[in-house]
This record gives sequence, C-alpha cells and structure tokens, in this order.
Amino acid sequence: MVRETAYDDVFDAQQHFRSLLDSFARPGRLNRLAPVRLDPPPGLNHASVLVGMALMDADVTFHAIHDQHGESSYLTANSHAASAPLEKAAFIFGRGDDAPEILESADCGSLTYPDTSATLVLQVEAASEQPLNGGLRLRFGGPGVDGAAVLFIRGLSPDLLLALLARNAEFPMGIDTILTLQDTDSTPCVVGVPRTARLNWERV
Amino acid sequence: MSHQDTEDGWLLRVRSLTKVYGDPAETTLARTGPKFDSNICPDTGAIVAIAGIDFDLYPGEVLGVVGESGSGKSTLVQLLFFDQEATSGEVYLKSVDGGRTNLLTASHQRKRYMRNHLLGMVYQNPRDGLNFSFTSGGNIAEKLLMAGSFHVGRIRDRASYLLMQTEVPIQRMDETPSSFSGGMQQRVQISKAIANNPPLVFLDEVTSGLDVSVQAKVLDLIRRLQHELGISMIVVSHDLGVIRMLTDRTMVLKHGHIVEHGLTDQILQDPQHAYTQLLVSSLL
Amino acid sequence: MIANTKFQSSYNYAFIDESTKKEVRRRALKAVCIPGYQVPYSSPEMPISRGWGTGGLHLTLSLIGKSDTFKIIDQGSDASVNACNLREFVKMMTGCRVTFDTAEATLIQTRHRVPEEIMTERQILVLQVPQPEVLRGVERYEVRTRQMHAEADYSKIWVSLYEAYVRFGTLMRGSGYPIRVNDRYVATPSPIPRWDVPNLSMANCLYLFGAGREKRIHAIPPYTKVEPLEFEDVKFRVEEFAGIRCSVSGEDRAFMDEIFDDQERRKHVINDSNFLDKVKTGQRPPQRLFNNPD
Repeated sequence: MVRETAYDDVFDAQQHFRSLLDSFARPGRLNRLAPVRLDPPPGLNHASVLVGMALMDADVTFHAIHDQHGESSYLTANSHAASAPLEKAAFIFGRGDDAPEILESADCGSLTYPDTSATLVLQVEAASEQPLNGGLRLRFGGPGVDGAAVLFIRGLSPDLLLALLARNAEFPMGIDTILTLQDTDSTPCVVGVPRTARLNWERV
Repeated sequence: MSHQDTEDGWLLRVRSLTKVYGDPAETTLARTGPKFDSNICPDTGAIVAIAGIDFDLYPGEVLGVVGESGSGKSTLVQLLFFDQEATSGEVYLKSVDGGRTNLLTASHQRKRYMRNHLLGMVYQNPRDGLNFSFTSGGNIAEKLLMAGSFHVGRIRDRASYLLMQTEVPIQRMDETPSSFSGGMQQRVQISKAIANNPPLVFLDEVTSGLDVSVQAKVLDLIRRLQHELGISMIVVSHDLGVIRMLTDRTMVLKHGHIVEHGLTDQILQDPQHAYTQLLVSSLL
Repeated sequence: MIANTKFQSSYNYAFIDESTKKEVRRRALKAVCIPGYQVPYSSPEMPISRGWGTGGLHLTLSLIGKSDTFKIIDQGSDASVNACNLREFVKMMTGCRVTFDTAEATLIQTRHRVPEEIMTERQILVLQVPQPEVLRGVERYEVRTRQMHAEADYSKIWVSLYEAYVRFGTLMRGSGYPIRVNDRYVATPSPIPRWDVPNLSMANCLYLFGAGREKRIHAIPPYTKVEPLEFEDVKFRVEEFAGIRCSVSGEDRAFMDEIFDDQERRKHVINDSNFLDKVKTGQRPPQRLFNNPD
C-alpha cells in the first residue's frame, strides 16, 4: 500500500512506454528501463511495477497471481487500476515459473477484436545475451526480428511457454507478454514477446 | 436404379432439419404443421419455418421443392447454403469428411470454404446474388478469387467461357449487371454459381420474376447445363411447370413439413396428398 | 470582474492528458502485436480539426519525450503550412528539438509520404491516415468489414483491383495501394504513393498509422513482410521516372513532383524537401529503390 513518490507520472511513464514499444516491436531484445526508486512488496520486481505504472490507469483492470503481501493493493495504489478476476483482467502479473494453468482463462480477444486480449507481465529470474546456467536458450523469430534473436533466460518454465504458444495458435487471437527482470546491476529490464513471436527453446 | 441400392452413393444427406423463429416451447413442433394448417405456435407465437426435414440427394440428380409461400421451401435452401443458421438438425456432404461431419456445426471458415468450392446459389432477385457495382466479369471473378485463383488472364478466360455457356454476350463482360435485362442478370448469376464447378447448386425461384418467354429460355439453359456438367441441383419453385421441366424427384412442402415426396412424373400424374392434388389441379 | 485564471496555468506536457496518453499507448502496443490490424482507440478533441492530422498527433504526443528530435513533413515538405503549424505546436507543447534533417530525427510524423532517405532502427515514423479501413471502398458497413478482416475474406478488394485493371489497364489508383501485412491483414499504407510502399516491408524502423477521425491505430513492426496486392500476371509497379531528372538538382531516381513553370513548361522536382536539400549539396542519402518487373 505504499504510494511511490519518486515516480514521475509524465516522464517516467513516457520513457518506459517507449522501451515497451521498442520491446514489442523488436521481440527478443533486452531493453533496460530507466530505474526509479521503488519499494514494492516481495511478489513484484521493479520492472513489473514500472510496466504497470506506465500502462495502467483507472480505465483498466489487472490480476496479480501472487498476492500474499499486498501486491494487488500496491498496484492499485500506484496506478489506480482495479483488481479483477483473471479471466477479466487486461493485465496479468505473474512469474515465469507459474503453472501453465494460469493461461487457461486469460482473455485472448476475439476474431473481430483481437486487441481486447490480455497482456501478461511475467517476472523471470534473469535474462542475458550470454549463456546462463540452468535456464533456457530462447530463439525468437517473426515480425520485428532481423533474422533471429537469441536470449538466455532463467526462471521461465517451458510448460508455461508451451501454454502461451497454444493460446496464441489461433492468430489473430492471442496474449502478448512482457518478461520482466532485474539485471545483474539491478537495472529493471524488459523483453517483449508479442503474440506474433515465433519461439524455439532448449535447456542449457 | 433404386436408392436402396446405392445407400452410400448419396451426395447430400439431410436429417431432421428444423428452423424456428422466435422462442419455441416444447409443444411448438407438435402443435404446428399441415394438420393444424399453421406454422405459428399457439403458445409462444414462434414461427416454424421448416420442421424435421429428411431427404437424400444423389450425384447428378435434380430435386424439386415445391410449395406455396410460407411452406419453408426458400428457408430450406438458405439453411443448406448457410445463409441462415438452423435451429437443429444434421446436414452431411459426402465430399466433406466422408460425410461424417454435421456441417451445421462447422466453423465459419469451413462454411465459407463450402460456399466457395462445393455449393452454388442462384437467388430469385439478382441483387441478392450479384454485386451491382462490379462488372459481370468481376462478379464471376469474385468467386474465382475466393477459390484462390489470382491470375487475371485465367480469370478472364474462365469468366468469358462461363458467360458464353450461359449465352451472355462477351462484350458485356466488362459492364455492370445494372444495364442488363432480368433474364441476362439471372444468366450472370448462374455463371457465378457454377464458376468453381461445385457439385451442388441451389436455385431459389430463379425464374419467378421473369417474363414467360424469358423464363423458358433460362429454364432451357439450366437444363442444358445440368445435363452437360452433371451438377446436382435443388430447384425451389411454387410453379409446377418449372418443377416438371427440370426435376427428377420432387418434395412438396406445406407449413414446413414434407407432405409428399417422390418421382416428379409420378407426383404430377398421380398426386396422393390432398394438397399436392390441389397444386397439380391448378397446373395449367 | 472575475479574473480568468484557468487558462493561465501551463499545459500538460505534450498537451494531451496522461489518461489519454495511456489509452493511446496501450492501443499502440496492441497494434504492434497484431501487425496490420486496426485498433480502435478513444481520443480527445485537439486544437486542430479532424482530418488535419489529429491521428498522427495523438500518436506523436503520446510517444514523444524530452530526448526526442522531432520532424514533421506534409507531402514531403517540412515547410508547408500544415507542417509548420504542427511543428510549432509540438515544439511549444514539449520543448523538444525539432529538425528538418531526416537522419537526425528520432520521431517523424508525416502525411502522404515516407521519407526518401532510409530510416534507421532508432526512428519511428508516424503516418497520418484519413481512412484507415482499406475495405471501406467496397463495403460500407463496419460490422461487415470487421467480419471480413476476422475471416481474412478479402475477395471484394481483389475484385476492385481486377475491375481497376479492366477499366484502366493498370492495377491502381494513385495512392494508398492496399498491402498485405505479415501474410494476414490487408491494410492501407495511408495515401502514400506507390513509390513508397516497398519501403514498408522488412524495414529497420517501426511504422505507426493514426487515423484521428475514424479513431484507429495500426502498425507495421520492423522486419515484417509487407506485400502490395498483385496478381500472378499483373504485378505491382511503382511510378516511372525513367529518364526524368530533377530540374533543381539534376538528380534522378527519387519521387518527383510534376510542376509547370510560368512559361507552362513541364518540369520535375524531387518531392522530399530534405532529400532535395541534401542532393543539392552533393550528398546522396541511401534509399531503397524498387525495380519494376519487366
């Protein structure tokens, strides 16, 4: 329930939005967000919070899957967005190692209005262009990718990825995902995974 | 060749096809129909357009559907062409999944595929089947494009061939149908309907709006095309003269039900049901 | 007399309120995730009438930030009345740098042209669109065009191309040639000349399309396949400027305006004013040139 005071509603939101726009336009690119002094509850990393504060307001709803420490209240206090059941939420905050079932009822939009689908904000442990132990080597293709892009990601479950691909199989319906993480130097980072992203992965 | 011999040789199979407008009650179907001389449910006011229609159609066969206004004959072909959604029932085409899938439950995409490739429809009003802001060649091109043909030369070749087959002067290929006579508009509709060589074409009162002499010519054309191409047809008409000229078998509908069904010649010579007798006796 | 203090306070950064910016931003993100699909958005009134660039402005003002360098062109020119007015407005509302130099800009708003000089990964092009619904010419009703897009049923627009070929011997109208984006949605590239259409495919930059009157945003991400609709035997062609040289710079191979001088002589001038400025000084900025099929 901490209302953050260091966040600039105008300029932080704008800068972070531009990073998100670039992330969705160029899937597989690791984008750094200008850091802001924040004190979120343990279930949310800084990047997830900054995504929420950049994009959400009183006109949208969200669902925080991990809400044991007041994560929903925190997001509401800082964005004015209301918490809602998962199937109705425009933004879903979860973790990369969540069970694939979380995607079952997420809104995929409709054939006539595919843009009404949810946006998934998934926290992962780490991501890097250099190999990471214990993670996945994730290869991106499709619109926005010049040939191919590779990222190593730890904290993202292949089952969840499979579930995401399954929900996105009926293009144009689908869910768009932002992976959020903290870099080794604590900079909040994001990776865009639009529904059009073609993904291949293997364990490292 | 009797139908029992070729149980598996059917092209189209329809079972219990039903269309009700409004809110049906449990008794709606039981309290409407020819016995009650009404399609309107006395309880809820729901209108039973067609009720429990069953029939099979065989390759190369022409089936007539005759009845007066409100008999459900147009509704029947509109349901089969997916212009409208049925309330209940089953429809099978042998060429789709070996005839095992009820097409009424098919996805939008699948229905569109069938409408483009496997079915054709000619409406009574040419404005229902043609786009009057496109040329007659363009109307046919629309069908060919929907079937994945993206070559202008081949499209024009095929369109001119079809117009020639339906005796529309080639010079009029690049004109819109608005300047055509009624008979010629119907010919363009026919060209469009057969553009992708569908095995089954529905004709819904196609000559009802035309002069008698023009009617005769269009009917001749339909008969010739059917013989040449071996297309199965369902011909809807209130006019027994049309039925006599075109069809092998006929179903008589009254208030949404089939009251008689048999070989066209037999029905015309020896109608069994009172209603059919009435229709035949008024045939000039 | 009561003093009017309401309008003495300064405007919100970039004029529009944060709520609207967020709405436009959310919608723009969805548009990028569904290439070529028109996303409806809600938009406030602007001090410029609908049809004069509000769609472009909504996007620009929701995207722009202090570190941006902004350029705006109208039919290729930085110096037209509309371009000047909008540029002054944006500068006044954001305090950001403005430029005429295509290479320097980070955010470019444009009407009816794509800059001649190749755009880079650092840049975003915002295009103004009068009618975003590419099917509106062949189908009046929104409900039906929505359904056509949902089912990828584009037969009617193909017929209109066929009809244009039959009637005029060429596939198209002058501008706004229909394109298929990412093998799925057919969209309008806005009324840019055919010359510019090949630039949209597999580009380095992001393209955002804003229609203020119709309230739609659509997008083409970088490195995305964009194909003009064409037949197997009748292909897309760009305007021919073979043998034509710009009467001001002497250069060729750029999109030209055709003008008549006071002696009624027909001349051509390179349309993109910044590109023209550069070639006049001897530079030849990189372009993407399309070769018409023989």
